[in-house]
Amino acid sequence: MTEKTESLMPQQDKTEVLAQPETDVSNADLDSEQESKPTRSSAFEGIYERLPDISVRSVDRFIAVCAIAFIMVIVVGILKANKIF
Amino acid sequence: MEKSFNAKKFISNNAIIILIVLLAVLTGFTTKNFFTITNFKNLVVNVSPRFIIACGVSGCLITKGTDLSAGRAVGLAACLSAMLLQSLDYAARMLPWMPNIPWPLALVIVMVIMGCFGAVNGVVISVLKVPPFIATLGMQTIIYGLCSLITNNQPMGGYKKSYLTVASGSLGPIPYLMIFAVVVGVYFWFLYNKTRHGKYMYAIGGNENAAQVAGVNVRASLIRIYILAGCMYALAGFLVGAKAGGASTATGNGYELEAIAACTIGGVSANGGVGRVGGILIGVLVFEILKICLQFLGVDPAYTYIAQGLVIVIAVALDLRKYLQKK
Repeated sequence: MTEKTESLMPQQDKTEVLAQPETDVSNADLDSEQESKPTRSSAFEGIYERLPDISVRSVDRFIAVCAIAFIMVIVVGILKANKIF
Repeated sequence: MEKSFNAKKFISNNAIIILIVLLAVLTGFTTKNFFTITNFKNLVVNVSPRFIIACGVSGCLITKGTDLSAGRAVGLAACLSAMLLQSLDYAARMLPWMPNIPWPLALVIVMVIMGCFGAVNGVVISVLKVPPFIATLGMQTIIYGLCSLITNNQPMGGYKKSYLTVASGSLGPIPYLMIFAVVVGVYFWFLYNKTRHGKYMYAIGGNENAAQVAGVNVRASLIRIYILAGCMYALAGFLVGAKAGGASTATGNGYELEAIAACTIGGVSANGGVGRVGGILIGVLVFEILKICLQFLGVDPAYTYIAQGLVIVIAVALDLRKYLQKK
């Protein structure tokens, strides 16, 4: 049984190798079709994909910094409104 | 299987809302007249036209576009409404030959005109493939120029009483402005969730090419979205004019940025394909409650602008965070 499965494997590899050029061609065709179609683009489209690799943790830190800045702006505004400084 | 409550996820998804609620509670306890019916009515009256504008812009954002002409379109709509609904015995009437027309007819005329501007936006974006940022930026300037031309840069007033009542009147305790906003909200909820147009809109925002291949008429859908947006700006301009009792070329200036920011805060993703009417309402409320709280606390308006800017940055960062987590 195992011999049979082993003898099948090279054939499967061959079929995969034979199949590959066709799939490569069809993918290439799709890609070229997509490139030739003028896609609607905006300043925002794919904006996240164009950013460099950022970790979720660094975004969390950035959000925390902005939240602290927001609270500080409000506190300073209230203190100035009450003429404390 | 019970889902356990993830406090960190809840806080990160609702950080802005939590901050604003805390600010509102602080303001309520430290100032007089904050938690009053009058203040609530004031909030509702301010939120209503901004919510209508945000609903119009939301369709553009969900389809990965934008509409920078919203503010100026609101201004032009307010000026057109003014021209059609000035009192007959007002000495400085812009159109002395205009007969007395009922305000619903004037609203329909203004909506048709602004719908045409929306159609131009839609055609330029979907057929000519001009990026929405550029197309609507150009339209913003064109509309401002047209508004200056038709008004001769003169502010307008002297409205008919029936027009002013649209903004100042109420049905029992409910202001008419709120009724307009509720009707628009229900309509947009139905449109986004229960109609083919809504499905197509989300499909285009998610993946335009896939939607096209699936048989969605992307061009027609985008044109419809921008026409509807134009009609919403017309309605909002009509209401803003009635509320202010006057209109000029400066009316509506900057409203588009507030609307886009409110949509982003409310969960309309900058990456497209995502957005709910409830979220848009929350976004608009966050902005208005922030303004009202800082006003009550006596904070200089300059600090309000900085705070609003920080809220926008936090909203976009939270949206990016959701995108990165999914990735």
